[in-house]
Amino acid sequence: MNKALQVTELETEFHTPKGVVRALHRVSFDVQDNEIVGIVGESGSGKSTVVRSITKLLMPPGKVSAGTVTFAGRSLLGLPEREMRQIRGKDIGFIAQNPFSALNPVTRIEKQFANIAKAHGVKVDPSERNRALQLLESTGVRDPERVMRGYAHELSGGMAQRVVIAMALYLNPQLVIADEPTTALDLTVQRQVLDTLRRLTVESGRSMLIVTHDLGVVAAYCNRVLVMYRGSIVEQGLVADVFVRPQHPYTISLLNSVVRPEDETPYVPDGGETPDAGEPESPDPSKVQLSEARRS
Amino acid sequence: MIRYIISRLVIAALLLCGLITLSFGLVSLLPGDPAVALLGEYATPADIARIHAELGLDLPFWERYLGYMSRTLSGDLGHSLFTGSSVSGEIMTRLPNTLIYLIPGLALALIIGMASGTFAAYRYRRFADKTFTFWISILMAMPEFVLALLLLFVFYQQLRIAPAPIGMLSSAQITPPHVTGSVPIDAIIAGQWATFSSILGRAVLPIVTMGLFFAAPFGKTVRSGLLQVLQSPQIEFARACGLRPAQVFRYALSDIRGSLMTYLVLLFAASLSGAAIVESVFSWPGVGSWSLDGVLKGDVPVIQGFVLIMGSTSLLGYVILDALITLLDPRTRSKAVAGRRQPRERSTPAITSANS
Repeated sequence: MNKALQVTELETEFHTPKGVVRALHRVSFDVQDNEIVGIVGESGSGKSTVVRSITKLLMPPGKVSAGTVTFAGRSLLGLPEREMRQIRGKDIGFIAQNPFSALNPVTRIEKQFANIAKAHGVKVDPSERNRALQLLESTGVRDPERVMRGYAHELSGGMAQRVVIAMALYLNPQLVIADEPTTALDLTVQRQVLDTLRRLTVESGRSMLIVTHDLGVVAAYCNRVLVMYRGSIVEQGLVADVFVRPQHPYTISLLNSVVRPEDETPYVPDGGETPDAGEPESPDPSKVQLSEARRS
Repeated sequence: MIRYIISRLVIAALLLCGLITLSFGLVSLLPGDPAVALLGEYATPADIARIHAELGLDLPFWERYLGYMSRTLSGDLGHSLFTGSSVSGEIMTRLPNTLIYLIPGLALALIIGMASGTFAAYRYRRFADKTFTFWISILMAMPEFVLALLLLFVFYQQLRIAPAPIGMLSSAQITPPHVTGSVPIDAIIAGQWATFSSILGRAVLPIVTMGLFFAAPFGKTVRSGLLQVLQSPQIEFARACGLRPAQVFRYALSDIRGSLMTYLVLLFAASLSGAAIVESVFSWPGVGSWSLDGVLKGDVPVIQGFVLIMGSTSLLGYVILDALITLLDPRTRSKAVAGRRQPRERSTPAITSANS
């Protein structure tokens, strides 16, 4: 199998007035063709920073300081912004977390599709519009013609997220990166949207990197999983292996935190809050020992 | 849609009545007697009583108020106590003189503020941004008359490329034949382009003063608004779709255009009062210097006329702004066009079902 995306020894820093905060420590992983890879971890563990470092959407003061990102044989980190822009949207699709804050509120949906086409030098003609309509239909949008002519605020959350997915897939990217694509949605809609996503990516020969904090999503949809804790990947492997035989204490703790109805004892958090990454005395995440009490 | 516009107009009319009341009340509550101001300290009680009767000041409060209201609404703003000239006529003659530099001045402020604010936001915390912030602080700390005097010092006194600050026309120019009373408009009607271009030439420094003075706060607003929106998920998604920088900028602008338009109207209202100072510096025969003169002399009808014309111009600005913002944004437009009837219809069955 070919590697769609390969990330090696990625390091990202945030230059704050208080000093340099390392957000990512030597992050290495890859995404194969026709594969869904999940990144899990708690808030502040660096999941989103990984995604933004790869797509070079990191906002100052964030900065990638070391490592390589190879996509379709090209090294992305050295690319000038002009070339990187052409890759975004065309070769790498991005699905945002909240569709209502991602879509432009005052521009018609069809105009937003047309803008994406225009940005990549695709001629905007009726056949392009039809393609967008078909794509909307395949993402499960009801009455795509009406949606195309309307605005984002007229849609329900699930429909809006389908529009975002259709925009991300519009120019047929090989890799789709989804940053918590269902967090903003109702539970019933989450599943439909994820099914749609799976159908439109791996089943159509694409690969997907999906960021989530929902272990259920990883278990049901991903082939492989990366577990992140405080800026490092503490464990990675096939979902079946990692979930059945977790090696790192943090993974074990994470898996134990899932509320199962049959459990009698309530969940007691043992790690507390994620420590501030800026603290110099914070221990190396790979050597963290969490309490073994709940390892049962 | 029509309903919406009518509702705005009704609100504007009510606010206009409020404004007239305010201009009447403010001056009635001021200490000092106009008759004494007019006649001087040595006026006899008989003279004062005569003036009171002439001005209608001996009438009861309500009669004076209602009389003032009806006269104002019919367009009669009274006569100056000192020169005897009609206030509305004076405003009609002078307002074009003010607008001829005020509107280009604000347009200049819009262009400079937009360009520099955008540039600074895109170069956040870099050299260009720091330079911009530095100059903004200096400009914002400077009153407009200091700015006007500085510009005069550099361009008139040192470089000698600007005309002297002695008003709109030099004595050498022929005054155009009287048609509307407003010199620039009469010059256009008479086809005296030399006179008109001379007026424009003399307006350059007032325009630059206004432009720079209002570019500073506007640029600052553009910068902070853009900084915020450039970090937003909407712009991140636009960039993630690979949109061109110009397209991304247009998206960002559409997000903040409401607040920028609001700020621009606020600046317009502020500039009308700032006009008084600038016109004094340049001896410009506009409404500003005229009203300043009226305020210093205690010329009540002039003060009231100025308050009314400034107030109603700002009011008009706000009404247009409100309608524009509502109609430009599809989220509020659909509600405004539907006349807000939909939510009420939807909530009524819910209440009845809760009761039953």
